[in-house]
Amino acid sequence: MAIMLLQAIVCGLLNGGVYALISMGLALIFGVVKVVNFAHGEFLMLAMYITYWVFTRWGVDPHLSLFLCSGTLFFVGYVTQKLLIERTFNKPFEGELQIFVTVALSLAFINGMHMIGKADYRGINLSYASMALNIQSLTFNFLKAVSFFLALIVSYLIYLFLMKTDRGRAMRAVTENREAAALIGIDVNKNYCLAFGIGAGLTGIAGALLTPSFYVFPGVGLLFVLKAFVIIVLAGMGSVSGAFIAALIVGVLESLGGFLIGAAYTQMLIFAIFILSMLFRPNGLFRRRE
Amino acid sequence: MKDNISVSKKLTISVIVVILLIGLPIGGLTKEVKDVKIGLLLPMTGPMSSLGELNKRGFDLAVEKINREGGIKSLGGAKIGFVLADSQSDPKVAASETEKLIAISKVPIITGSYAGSLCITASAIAERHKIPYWEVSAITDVLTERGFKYFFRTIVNTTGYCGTAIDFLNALGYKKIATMAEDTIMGVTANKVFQTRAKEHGMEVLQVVTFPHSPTTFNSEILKLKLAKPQALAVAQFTNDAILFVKQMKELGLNVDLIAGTYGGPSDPQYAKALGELADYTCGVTVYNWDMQTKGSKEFVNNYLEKYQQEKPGLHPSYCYMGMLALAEVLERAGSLDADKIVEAALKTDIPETLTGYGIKFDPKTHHNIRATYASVVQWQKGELVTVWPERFASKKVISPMPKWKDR
Repeated sequence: MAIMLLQAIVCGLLNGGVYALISMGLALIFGVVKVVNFAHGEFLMLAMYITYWVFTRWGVDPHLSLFLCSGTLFFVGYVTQKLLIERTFNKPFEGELQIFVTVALSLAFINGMHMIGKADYRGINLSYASMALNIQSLTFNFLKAVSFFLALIVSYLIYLFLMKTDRGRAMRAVTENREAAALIGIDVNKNYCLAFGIGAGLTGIAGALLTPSFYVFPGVGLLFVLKAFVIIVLAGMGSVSGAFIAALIVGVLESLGGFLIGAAYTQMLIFAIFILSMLFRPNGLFRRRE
Repeated sequence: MKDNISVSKKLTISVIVVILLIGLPIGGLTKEVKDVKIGLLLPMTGPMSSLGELNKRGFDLAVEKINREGGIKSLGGAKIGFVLADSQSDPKVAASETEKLIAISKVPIITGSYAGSLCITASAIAERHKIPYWEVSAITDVLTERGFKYFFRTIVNTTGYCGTAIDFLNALGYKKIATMAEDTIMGVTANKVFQTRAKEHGMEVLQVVTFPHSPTTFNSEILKLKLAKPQALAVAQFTNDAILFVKQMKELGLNVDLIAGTYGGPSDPQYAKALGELADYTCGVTVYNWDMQTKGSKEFVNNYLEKYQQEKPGLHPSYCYMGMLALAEVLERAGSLDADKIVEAALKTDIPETLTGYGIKFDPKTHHNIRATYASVVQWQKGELVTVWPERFASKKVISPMPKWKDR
């Protein structure tokens, strides 16, 4: 039983790694651009389809296609900001407009994929997808472990980027005060596009790594995006490293809760914690500014 | 007195009015019904869409056969067509689409619906409007326990369908099992049936697992099952969840001797397409498979292969095909699209055998098909789906126990 509990925690952490990659992108987008990106799940879905197609057609391993996915999604994110979100700036009801735009984008992506790919469930089978490291009779799934470490590395890289580089500092300036940043000569829109692009790119990595152990269909993003929102609010909107930790917390809670109580109660538990943290720590668990 | 309209104009208008008054009703009195448009409510989008698509194929094939053979002769050779409504795998949409079918498309009958959760809301609406609802796919017990007058169901119910999974495991000698189902009306009923039938056979259910609708991970459920160590597993899942579950079974090393899957999963060709080799040895409960030697089976298989040229037909098109053929027979017997006449004709249905193996005869009170008491079991063997149980329908012997994951 104790082993099973430990295993539940391990599984939870590894799942958390996947949720982290998805949520960190959302956190960056919300933190910098201050847009609630309802199409975020569809960025994940696009990356999964790309991974599926290049694997099925040309046998490209997802660990290679993650570069393709992150690059493509960076482009998609950049363009979304440039052509869609930017147009909503300084218009009346800007915030509401942005919500409508991202929701519409989400619907367009899902239904577009329905038209191209049909609603069939697709999966890829990697010979080593179920490969696991067994340490002390605990199973660590290889693929999920890779996602976990990648999420860790990416989280640190984003932190370095935002703290230590000029571009990162510019991005933080834009986050703190859009007008002031513009006044001192920072290209606000370019930084927004970059942030959106990087955020989408991160999700692209998540999608590539998720594909071998999940299934692909047009609505797959919707299964994950709600969790991602809970995670970024829990973390404190905009905190990327916070999103990483919060994702792990959610992953472990989900796993332990499901094992000890039952999956339905676990969903309740996650939202209860969400509500409690909103009551007591409204700015999120990690109030570090990024 | 000054007339604003001239006398000749008044005369012309009166003549036209009289002609219309006589002509229109006479036109309506003819029995020449051009075609009959039946409401078809299926989940064409959403998580159940792959099965909605398979269901539709069964309906289309049946209607093509009916129309090819002369349509509904008692309605003047009327051809059957459908008004297709997409329930989007959502019970609320199923209900609103049914309202539309009745109020706007004014269909005389509605058929469908794939899932119990979709049928229960839609058929309640139809009953309120006194429109016959011909359910061919949803097996949820409660559907025929509502005392509805206009509702009929041709397929086996949950007790018969899920019970078969347990009968099958019992016949193979497995006495210690676990069951797993999602926590929706479909799953909750399935789990109940699994447990009741297991008790009847004197089997021990070591663990009853439930999971939420469309989960992103099964690791908690799998860990629970690893702890319980059952010999075999009876599962009720939709195909997408079944795909994820099997993948994670391998990831986390959960080994059982046999899995009997109901609803989606092993009976759905999509499942094997997505899983490849991983699907082998898993079993599914079905009402029909291409290799069953039953009435009308050969013709059905040939028509299906000719039209769809992909895979051999299995469970999901078959019950729609069979149900639609039976509905056409009812319309033929009724000779009218009037709801009460249809109900009367339906109650006279007495078909000894269909391609599922069982026939059709409706209980006069519940309107459930009392001849549909059992189902069959199929297994994926080397990428081919074959019938393995009961013996009289089996084309191959069941392979059990399944080899362990690390040995595959």
